[in-house]
Amino acid sequence: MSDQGPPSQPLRAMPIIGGLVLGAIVCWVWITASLVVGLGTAYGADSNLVAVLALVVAALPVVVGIVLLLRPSTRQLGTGFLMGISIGMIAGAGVCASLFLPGTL
Amino acid sequence: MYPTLGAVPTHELFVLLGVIVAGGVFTLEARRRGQTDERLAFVILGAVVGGAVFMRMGTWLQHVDLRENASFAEQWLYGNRSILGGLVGAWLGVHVAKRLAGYQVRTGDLFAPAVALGMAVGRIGCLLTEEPGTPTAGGWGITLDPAAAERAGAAAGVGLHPSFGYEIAFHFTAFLVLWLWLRHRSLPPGESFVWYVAAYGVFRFLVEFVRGNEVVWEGLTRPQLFLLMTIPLVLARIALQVRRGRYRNALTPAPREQVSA
Repeated sequence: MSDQGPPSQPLRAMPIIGGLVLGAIVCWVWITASLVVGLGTAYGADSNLVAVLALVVAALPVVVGIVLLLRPSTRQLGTGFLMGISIGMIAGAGVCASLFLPGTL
Repeated sequence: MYPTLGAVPTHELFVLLGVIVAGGVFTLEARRRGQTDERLAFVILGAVVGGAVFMRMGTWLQHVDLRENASFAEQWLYGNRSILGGLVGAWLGVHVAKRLAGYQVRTGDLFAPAVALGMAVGRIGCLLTEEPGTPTAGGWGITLDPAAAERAGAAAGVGLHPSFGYEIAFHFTAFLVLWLWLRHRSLPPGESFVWYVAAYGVFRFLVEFVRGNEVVWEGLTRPQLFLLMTIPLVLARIALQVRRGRYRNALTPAPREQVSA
């Protein structure tokens, strides 16, 4: 595998898994909060201001993840963190929210 | 029909289980092939970010009149999720991540069995909660009671094709073929994923005829129109590889099960 580019760190399980769990929790907390507060607004609302605000708030963990990703010492943690957020978005739109708020979805 | 496991929504739970199972299969195969470079994590990140974004946004622009579509925020929070959109997004995400990270090793052979088994598990949630399919006179049809039919938006009291059951059978069979046979063969690196996607594309096009999705043009559903444009590209790629002789010894046992660039 001589053409892989410059040598890189080996994968370590703990930072990746830790980041994954943290990211998923952050994502699900955001989803739950957005349902509690009503962010995202219902269809037919007159203003999208709250929905836009929700997206801005949602972007904060992503920014944190990118910062972690860019620092060599926290790169794998940041990778796991962003993975956790994405997986939370794929699978979690409801799991955690309904745990806290049965019948929300 | 429409069971819930305590307070946890069935559909989301099985999607989450599918992701976890896929992650486990990917890790096992990466270890077996000795791929432990940290840049592999960036590739997975590209896949899940691309998958998440396109899964949500893949069903966004459904109407030519843009005012009839949901807003970006509404779609992100409440919109339908599309498996086909997710697959395309994951594929794009992998390529972008590999380019950014400078990782040139083919990764399709790691993703193929992981995605197949993950889809088989995730689709159980669809089978238990969504409209099963079109009516069938066969004895294997799913019959919904009025409450379940109303919730799923399907007809009550008649047998319906278990279209997600067909898909689960496809993905599970694909996983067995990939895991027990193809990964020990001499396929060119990454090609097992191309074969899997091509097979799924053709299968999905056919199963759409009994899925019960909205028909939008000439008897075809939106997924079928998408597949009508994309399947020929994948099949053309396979045909090109055949012409180049890349598959000449593809099914002979692999001399060494190590991915090379």
